[in-house]
Amino acid sequence: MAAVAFERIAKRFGPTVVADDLTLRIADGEFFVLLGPSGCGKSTLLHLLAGIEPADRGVMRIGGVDVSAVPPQQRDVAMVFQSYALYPHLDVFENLAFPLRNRGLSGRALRAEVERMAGTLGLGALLAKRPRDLSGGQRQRVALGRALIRRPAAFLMDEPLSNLDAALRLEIREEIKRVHQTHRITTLYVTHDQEEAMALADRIAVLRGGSIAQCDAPEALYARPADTFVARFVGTPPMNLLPAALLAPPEAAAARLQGRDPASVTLGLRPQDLEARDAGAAGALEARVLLLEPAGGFTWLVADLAGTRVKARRADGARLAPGDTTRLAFAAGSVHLFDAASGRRLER
Amino acid sequence: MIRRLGTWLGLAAACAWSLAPFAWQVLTSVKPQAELESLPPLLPSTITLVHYEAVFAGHPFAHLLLNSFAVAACATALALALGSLAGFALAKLRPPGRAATLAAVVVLSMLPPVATVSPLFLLAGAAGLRDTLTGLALVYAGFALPLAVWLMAQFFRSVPDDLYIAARVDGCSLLGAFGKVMLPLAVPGLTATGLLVFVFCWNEFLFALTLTSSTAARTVPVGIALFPGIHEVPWGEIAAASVVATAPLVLLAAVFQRRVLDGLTAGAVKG
Amino acid sequence: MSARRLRPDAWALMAPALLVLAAVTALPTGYVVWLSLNERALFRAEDFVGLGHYLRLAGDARFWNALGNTLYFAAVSVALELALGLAIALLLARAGRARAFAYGAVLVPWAVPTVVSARIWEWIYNPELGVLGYLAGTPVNWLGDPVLALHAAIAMDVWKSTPFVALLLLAGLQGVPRDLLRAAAVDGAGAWTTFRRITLPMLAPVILVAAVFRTIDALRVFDAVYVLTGGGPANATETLSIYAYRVLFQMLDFGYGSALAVAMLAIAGIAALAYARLLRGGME
Ligand SMILES: Nc1ncnc2c1ncn2[C@@H]1O[C@H](COP(=O)(O)OP(=O)(O)OP(=O)(O)O)[C@@H](O)[C@H]1O
Ligand SMILES: [Mg+2]
Repeated sequence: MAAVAFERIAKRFGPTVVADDLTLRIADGEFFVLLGPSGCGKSTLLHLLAGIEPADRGVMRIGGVDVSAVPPQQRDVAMVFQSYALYPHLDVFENLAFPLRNRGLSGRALRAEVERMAGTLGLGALLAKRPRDLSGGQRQRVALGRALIRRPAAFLMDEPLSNLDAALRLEIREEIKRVHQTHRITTLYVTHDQEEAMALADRIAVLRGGSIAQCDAPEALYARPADTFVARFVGTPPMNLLPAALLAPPEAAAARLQGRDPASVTLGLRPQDLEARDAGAAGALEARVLLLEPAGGFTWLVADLAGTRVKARRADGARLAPGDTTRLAFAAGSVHLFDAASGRRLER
Repeated sequence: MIRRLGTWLGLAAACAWSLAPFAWQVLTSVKPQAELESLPPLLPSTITLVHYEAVFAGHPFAHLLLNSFAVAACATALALALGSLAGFALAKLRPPGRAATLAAVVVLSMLPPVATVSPLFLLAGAAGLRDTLTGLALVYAGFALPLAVWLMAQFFRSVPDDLYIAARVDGCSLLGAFGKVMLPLAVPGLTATGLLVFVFCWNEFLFALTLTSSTAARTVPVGIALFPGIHEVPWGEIAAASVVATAPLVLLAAVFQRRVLDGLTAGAVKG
Repeated sequence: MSARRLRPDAWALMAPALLVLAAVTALPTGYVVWLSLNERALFRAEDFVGLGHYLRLAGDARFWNALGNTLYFAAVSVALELALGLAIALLLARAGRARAFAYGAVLVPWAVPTVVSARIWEWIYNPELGVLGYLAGTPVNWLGDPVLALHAAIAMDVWKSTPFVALLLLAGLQGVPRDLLRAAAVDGAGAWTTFRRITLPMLAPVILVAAVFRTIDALRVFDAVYVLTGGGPANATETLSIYAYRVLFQMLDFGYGSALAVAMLAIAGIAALAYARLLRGGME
């Protein structure tokens, strides 16, 4: 177990910039999630830390030690992959035993370790099977076991849930959380699924174009997104972004914009905070309903607000139909303000 | 129905055209000498093995077979060892300049052998490797390497990157990951590459002709090309020798049909 | 670029292969160019003559004869191999249960050593005892007539090399998506239209690759023709490789022989470049 740090890391593949002067510090025992869209370089960051790819510049530390020149097999990290990456020519027992054998363990001690690990993950009956004879969930359990079995300094997980169906995904997600709570191994977890990130993380770093857009606890990320990119990326459905000019008097309380020119401000409103009322409600914006999406206890509706598509919530969608006029209301405190040009958050 | 019939007729014709010349050689090899001196008869009246006996008794043919096997086996082993290491590095470590390296390898595989036979003759002489099995095996390995590197790079590319990464993270050194994970997964590719390289070495003629001068290092193709005849050409014996030289390859091709097809078409079709 | 990005580990693994390649193919290629600029008989030291050998080459009728033979041999045999190979590939694709046998039969000529195939055909072409003359009903001196001999050599090469082309094209055919063929059938296209409009265009890159491989192979043909005819009669089947080999190892003139070898290199290079351009054009 150890703290992990990336210090001023740069990495590019030809013209593709994967990391540009990137710094990250992950505390000992922390569950840290790297969140970013597909192809933004999340996997590459894990490969850098594991020593598979060399960085162009910068220093990586595990437990305070600079590991930049240490070969992968000596970095003491373990990895779990989206593709499971079980060795197809070895059975489950040998897959679990593989990292131990590489450290010189054999015989009875090895067997005991493997069987203990298989027991905790419920794999006892599968030890003689080949990976191709296992279901997706079983494969990912074996992969977890293979990573966990030697108690690495850090755990690297690259979208371990992406290949699983919805039910299994929740099951293995809980398993991962349980493993982390029992062993408290520093974990660097990569995903493009913000819900997964929120559910698992102590802290989340949102990546964009080789740098960190924001690094914060899940609640802070949700409550105070640093820019419009994070605002749209975190939270489902994504936050509505509207030109502040829409709030032209009477709604634009001049105080809320703090005297800024409405043309230079973008408003952020989460669909959860935008309540669709019946026509005629006061102090609200008029919009035309385009679509209704029942969500169980309530209904999402997509509406046209002076030319901008917005998503809003309605306690019950019963009396609304596409084409109707509705009024969208929100609490003053739920508005996020961003600079229209840079997308950065404006502090209130 | 008519199309089906046409397909079958066409297939039968293609198979007959492919098999007939070699089948004729097999027939020739078991015909009594008298029946070789006129035509007809097409088919032998009795089957005789005298030509086979003559090949092995009268000539150092067994020695040539042994030479051919030794040279082809050593060259194949060398080409596989070096080719799989290089192919692995190109496919999984992706060094900068890999595209240029692969292109250079392909260009080298297109060299006409005649273009390098004179310098190799002089170089082999200078190194004391002329008329030795070692010299021949080295040259064959060199000429087979472009194919071996190219094919092994293709086969290693089809092993997922994640398996290599997992092996390294699980405690394998570079060579450990190669030996314990990558190589076992590339066995079909190794087999295909080995077969193609072996066939190339077994069949090679120009270098065998120029770099060897005695039975000590001569190989089967040279033996068959220079088959000695005192008065007239000993067609029966040549046929017998041909069958002996070809049988191992036909057998290999039949047993490892799938692998041979993989090897012949890998890279050419996909990229 | 930093030292780390150069991947010393990768180059270390590639070094043995690159070294052997350099020693056995790259170094001799440089050496042969040097040899061609010198007068060099075997066992004698070199004597620099500059481009002298190339001037001699330009006026050497036997060189132009060999070049003509080589180009004719390559053009005709590759064309025939592509046509026959495509036909056989289409047949093999429908072989169904007979597949394993048919593939095996077609692989036989590929597996026969070139020298052996030359001996097989030499026997078939034998003027008195050959089965071909017997089938033709009259004895023909196939290898004694200049025109017949070159075509006899071509026929042998077609027999030996068509399987490779057929199997390559078969792999290409198997890569044509079935849905595309079904869609064409649904759209009312007949067999010929489907072949012309869908199969052939999809197959074009593979055909090109097969053509490249075969042309480069045919341009450097040596053992097949050398064992079959020895270059005769009257040099009618002498290819560039055979001529170069004779100058090198029968006349023991390493200087001029090397110049011939360099000429072969140049022709192979031109063929490779031409096809590289074609390939790039075909991909766009
Ligand atoms: N070895 C490589 N050579 C060249 N480019 C690469 C290499 N590895 C990755 N890339 C490129 O770098 C970028 C980042 O890749 P990476 O796999 O790290 O993204 P990712 O965030 O993990 O994406 P995903 O969510 O799809 O897994 C991509 O554009 C990819 O094409
Ligand atoms: Mg990834």
